[in-house]
Amino acid sequence: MIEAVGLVKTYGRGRALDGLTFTVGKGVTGLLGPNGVGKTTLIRMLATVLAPDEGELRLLGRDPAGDRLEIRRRLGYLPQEPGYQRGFTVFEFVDYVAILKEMVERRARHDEVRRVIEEVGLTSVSGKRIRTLSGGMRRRLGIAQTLLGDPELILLDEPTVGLDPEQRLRFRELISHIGQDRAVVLSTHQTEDVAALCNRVVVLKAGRCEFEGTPEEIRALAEGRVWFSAEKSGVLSWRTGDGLFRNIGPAPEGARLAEPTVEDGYLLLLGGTAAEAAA
Amino acid sequence: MSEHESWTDARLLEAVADRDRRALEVLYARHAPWLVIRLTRRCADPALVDEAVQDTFVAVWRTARTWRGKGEVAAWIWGIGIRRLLDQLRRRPAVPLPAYDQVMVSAEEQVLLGIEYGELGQAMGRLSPELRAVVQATVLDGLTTREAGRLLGIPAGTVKTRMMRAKALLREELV
Amino acid sequence: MSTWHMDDGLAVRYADGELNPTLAASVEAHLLACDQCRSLLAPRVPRSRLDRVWAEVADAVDTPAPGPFERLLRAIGVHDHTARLLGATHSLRLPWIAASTVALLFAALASGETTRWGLLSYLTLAPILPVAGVAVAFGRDGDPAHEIGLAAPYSMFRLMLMRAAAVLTSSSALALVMGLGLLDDDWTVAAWLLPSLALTSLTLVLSSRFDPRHCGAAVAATWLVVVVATNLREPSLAMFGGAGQAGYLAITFVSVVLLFFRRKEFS
Repeated sequence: MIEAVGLVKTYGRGRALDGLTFTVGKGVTGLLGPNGVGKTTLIRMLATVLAPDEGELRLLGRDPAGDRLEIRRRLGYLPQEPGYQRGFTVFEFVDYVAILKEMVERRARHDEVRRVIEEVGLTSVSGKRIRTLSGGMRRRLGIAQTLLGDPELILLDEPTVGLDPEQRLRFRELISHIGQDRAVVLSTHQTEDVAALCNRVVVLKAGRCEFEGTPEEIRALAEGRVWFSAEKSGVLSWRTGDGLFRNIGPAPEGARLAEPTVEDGYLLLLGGTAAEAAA
Repeated sequence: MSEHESWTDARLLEAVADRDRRALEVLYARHAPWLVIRLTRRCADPALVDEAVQDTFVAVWRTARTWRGKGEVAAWIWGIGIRRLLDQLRRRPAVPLPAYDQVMVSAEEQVLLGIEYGELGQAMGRLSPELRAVVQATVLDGLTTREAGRLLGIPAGTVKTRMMRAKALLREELV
Repeated sequence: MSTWHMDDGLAVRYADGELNPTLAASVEAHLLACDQCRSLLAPRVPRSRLDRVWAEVADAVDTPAPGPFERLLRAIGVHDHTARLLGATHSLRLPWIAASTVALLFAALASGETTRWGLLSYLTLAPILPVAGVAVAFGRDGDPAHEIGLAAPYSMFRLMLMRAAAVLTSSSALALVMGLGLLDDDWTVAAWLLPSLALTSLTLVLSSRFDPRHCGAAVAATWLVVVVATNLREPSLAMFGGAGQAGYLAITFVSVVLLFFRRKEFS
C-alpha cells in the first residue's frame, strides 16, 4: 500500500523528515512518536498534500508526483484539525466532501453519504447541525467522510486526541472495524492506541524510522528491562502508587522484574527525551 | 441503535422534532404499511398513494414540532396522509374513484361492526353508497366539506346536501 | 380501548380491499388506536415498495434546503453539485451580500453629495468588496474543509477560480445596480470595474504563496493608501481616467498569466 524510501522534508533550517524509510500494508498501522516529530508532515505527504523534497514514495503502487489524481480517488484523509462548516448538518458536510471526491450523480452520491454516516453510527444525528455535536461525534463525522467511495487507504492524523475514555473505546471499535479489509494509517503519540488497535507500528524519532514491527515486538524490547525497586534507579523511573519505583533500563542482578508494556518498549526506543516528556 | 425500536410513538415523534433521523425511520416502519393500505382504499392509483405516503413522512419530519403531544400519533399521521393524498389528486385530476361496491356482510361481520360503531355502524351499512362515502370522508376520515368533495370528485355543495340527507336517514334508523 | 382485535384473515381481507365499506371503516377506526393490529398489516405491503418510498423520504429529509444564492445558480443552469460548492462560501451567503449592499449604499449616498470625495469613495469601495469576498472564499481559514479538499480529487484551483468568479460577479452586479440606481449614469459609475478585476486577480496570485486573507488585506490596504495619497491635495478622478484604466488592465493581464503558471501551488 505504501512504500517510502529515504523521505526528506525540510522547513527552513529544520528537517521534519530526515531519510524516513518504511512500508505499510493492509490492516491498521500506527505512526507513533512524540509531538513535533514530523507525524503530521508525514501524513500530509501520504495524503498527497505535500511532496517530499527527496526520497521515493509509492502510494497504492503509484507515484504521487505523477498519478496524484488516481491516488486521491482511492484515499480517505482525516486531518489533525479538520474544519467543519459548523452551520452545516452532518449530511450536508459529508455530501460536500463527496462532491469534492467527484461524486457527481446526485442520487448515487446521497446514497453513499447515507451509507458512510450509517457506518460510523451517526444516522440518528444526520439531520443535526455540526455545532450541536459532541467532540466524539465530530470525530466520527471526520471518519465518515474518509470512508466515502470505499477507499483502499485511510489516513487519520491524531484521531484520538481529546476523546474521553468511553469515546476512545467506541472510536477504537470503529477504527478496527474499518481496518478489516483496507490499510488504515493513524498517527498518535499514545501507546495505548497502538497496543489496542494496530497490528503494525512505525516509531518515528527525529524524522527517521526508529522501529518497524508489531506492538508485541516493541513490548518485547523491554523484556527483562523493567523492574521495581525501593530506590530510584535505572534510566527512566518513577514512583508508582504503592511507593515502589518502576524502572526501565538495564536491570541490576536479582532485581524484581515487572511485566513490560508497549509503552515501556517505546520509552526505551526513544531514550531520555521521551522520559522527560512522560514525567 | 436498536433502542429506538422500543420507544413509544410519542417519544419517537419528540425525537423526530429534535432532528433524530433514526426515529423517523422507525416511525416510518411502524406507520407506513397501514397508511399505504388505508390510502389505497381512497385512491386506486398506487403511484399517487406512494407519493402521498412519501410527502406524509417528509411532512412528519418538518412539522413534528407542531404535534401537541395529545392523542394518537397514528391519528395525527392519518390527518397528514389523507390531505397529502388530496394534494396529489388535485395535481392530477383524472384518477379512478375509489370503489364503493356493495359487499355482502356476513352475520359474523355484523357483530364486529357493532363493536366500533354500534348501531351507527349497522345503520351506515344501510345507507346508499354515495351517502355512505360522504359520511366516511367527513366523519371517519376527518375531512372538511371541501376536502371531501375533492376526494370524491363532487362539488362541495353536493357533499353538504348528501351529508344532510345521510344525517336525516341515520337519525330515523337510530331513533 | 376495546378488547377486540383483528385476526390475520381479517387483516388480509382489509388489505386486499375485500371488506365492505362499513366494516372497513370500523377496522380503520380501530387501527388508529391499536399498534398491535397495525403491525398485522405490515406484511401486507411489499417490502420493496416500502423501501422505495422510504428512499425518497430519506433523500427529501436529508437533502439540505438550498440557500437563495444556490437556487439562483441552479436556476441559471449551474449543476447542483457545483452550486453546492459555491453556496458553501461565506462571501456568497446572504449576510455577506447584505453587508456589502449596506456598505455600497452608504458610499453611493455619500457620492450623492456633489463633492468629488463622494464619488471617489464609491469608486474606491467597489473594488475592495470583491477582494474581501475572494480572500475569505478559500484557503485554510476561508474554507473549513480546505485540508480535506486538498487530498480530494476535485481541483482546488478550479474551485478557487469558480468561487472568485462568483464573488466577482455578485459584487459587480451589486455595484452596477447601485451605481445606476443612485448615481449619474455616465461612464464614471462603471469606472471601478477594471480596478476590481485588477485587485482581485492580484489577490489570487499572491494567494498562491501566502494566506489569502493576508493577501486580501494587503491588497485592499495598498489600494486605500494609493487612493488617499494621490487625492490628498485635490480630490480628482484622475486615477479612474484612461491612463489609470489601462494600468488596471495591464495588472489584470499580468496577474492572470502569473496565476496560470502558478496554478499547481493551489493543489
